[in-house]
Amino acid sequence: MSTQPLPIFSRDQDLYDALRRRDERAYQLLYSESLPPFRYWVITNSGTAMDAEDAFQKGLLNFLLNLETGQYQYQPETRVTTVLFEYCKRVWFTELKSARVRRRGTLPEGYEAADTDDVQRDLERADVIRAVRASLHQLKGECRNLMEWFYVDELSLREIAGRLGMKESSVKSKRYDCAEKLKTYYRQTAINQGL
Amino acid sequence: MKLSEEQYEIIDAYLANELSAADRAAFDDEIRADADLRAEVDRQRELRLGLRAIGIERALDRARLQYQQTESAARAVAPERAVVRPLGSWRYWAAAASVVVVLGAGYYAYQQTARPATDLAYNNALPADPTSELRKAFPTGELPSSVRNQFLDALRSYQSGKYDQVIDQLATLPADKQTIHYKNYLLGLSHLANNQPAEAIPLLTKAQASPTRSLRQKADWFLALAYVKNGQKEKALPTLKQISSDRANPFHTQAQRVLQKISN
Repeated sequence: MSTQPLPIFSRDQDLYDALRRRDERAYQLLYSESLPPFRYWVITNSGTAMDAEDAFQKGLLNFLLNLETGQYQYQPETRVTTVLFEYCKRVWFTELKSARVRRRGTLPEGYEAADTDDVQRDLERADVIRAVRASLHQLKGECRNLMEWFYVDELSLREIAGRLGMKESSVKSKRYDCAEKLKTYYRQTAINQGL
Repeated sequence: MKLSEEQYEIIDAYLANELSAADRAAFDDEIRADADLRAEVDRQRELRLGLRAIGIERALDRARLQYQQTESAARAVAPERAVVRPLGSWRYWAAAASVVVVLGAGYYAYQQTARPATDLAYNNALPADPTSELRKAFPTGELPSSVRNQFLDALRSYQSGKYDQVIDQLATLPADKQTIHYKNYLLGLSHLANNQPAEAIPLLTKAQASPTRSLRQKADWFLALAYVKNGQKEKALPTLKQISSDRANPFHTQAQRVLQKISN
């Protein structure tokens, strides 16, 4: 795996735009700029470096999902990295609240300020993602590949047709069949998980 | 509610914001009027969200790996630069760091110390990545391109640290007498990196039967590491001795170090 120098975004808006178009180098930049200070903050708030990386990953995922769904929109007066830091802090506050971590220390200052609606929404969304992942794992062979290639890797139907050696129209029909199967699995998983 | 293909396509286009303004407004009206349709749209929205989240998670894993590689290379390797080799490019940093990552699962787990992971990374003879040559070397033969693509997907998953996913992906991959060795090697490597040396051992043993010398050498080396990690030092010793006495073997120096370590 090769590593390239990180991009430089002269304006915060440029970073936001890069994240909107799913530029992975913008993700790397966020790791490089935001993880070290967040790690320091977690370590000074009853956590370890590993806790910090996990919370950062979850916070970044929540942030990017909100960015994709339009729940977070760029505000010129607040830096993107500042917003991300708040998302990650919220994850760590939630972790601290759990019995497992709470044994290690006290809740840090600012905990009460965490918006419980946001926390609840993040948790519910995490449940949905978990259920979708479990359902996807129940799909087998070509169906699973097709759904992953189209929806996860975002390949076009034409590209998938090339990979499978099929006509594009056949891939489209197969995608429908596979989506229906996935939906059936998901419905059952959601019932089992009480969603 | 069982959707027709047409209904599915419309919902998909609606959720992807691909409908015209007029079609979107008309579909909004339909959704408002039909509770079953509304439930279907919600379900499909959740599925899309979940699948998109999986895509983002994978991208984040790759970004995290890149970050860790850069960080560990910058932190751990710098003190030894004068001793080993001049630092040329980002590619070299990445190569060195990827060795740290991969061997971290094998040799250093065995060591169980906080020793800086520079020793192996900076050995001139060590390949940059145990999977790096597989992409080019994987035989095509009469294989359908879909099989080759699946193998390349599995390689990408490996390089992203998704070892469970590799194991899953390769489980259904058909193999012939040419490709079976590559499949066994990559599966074995994934189990080893996934802290499952017992599962890695039979696969790497099978990969030793490869007619390709470089693949055999890799299988030998990682099999020895798997034995070490599995607490079967006596089974690792003959291979480690053989590798360490063969100066042409790319793992010659590493084998000497492991031998020295397990003899202490």
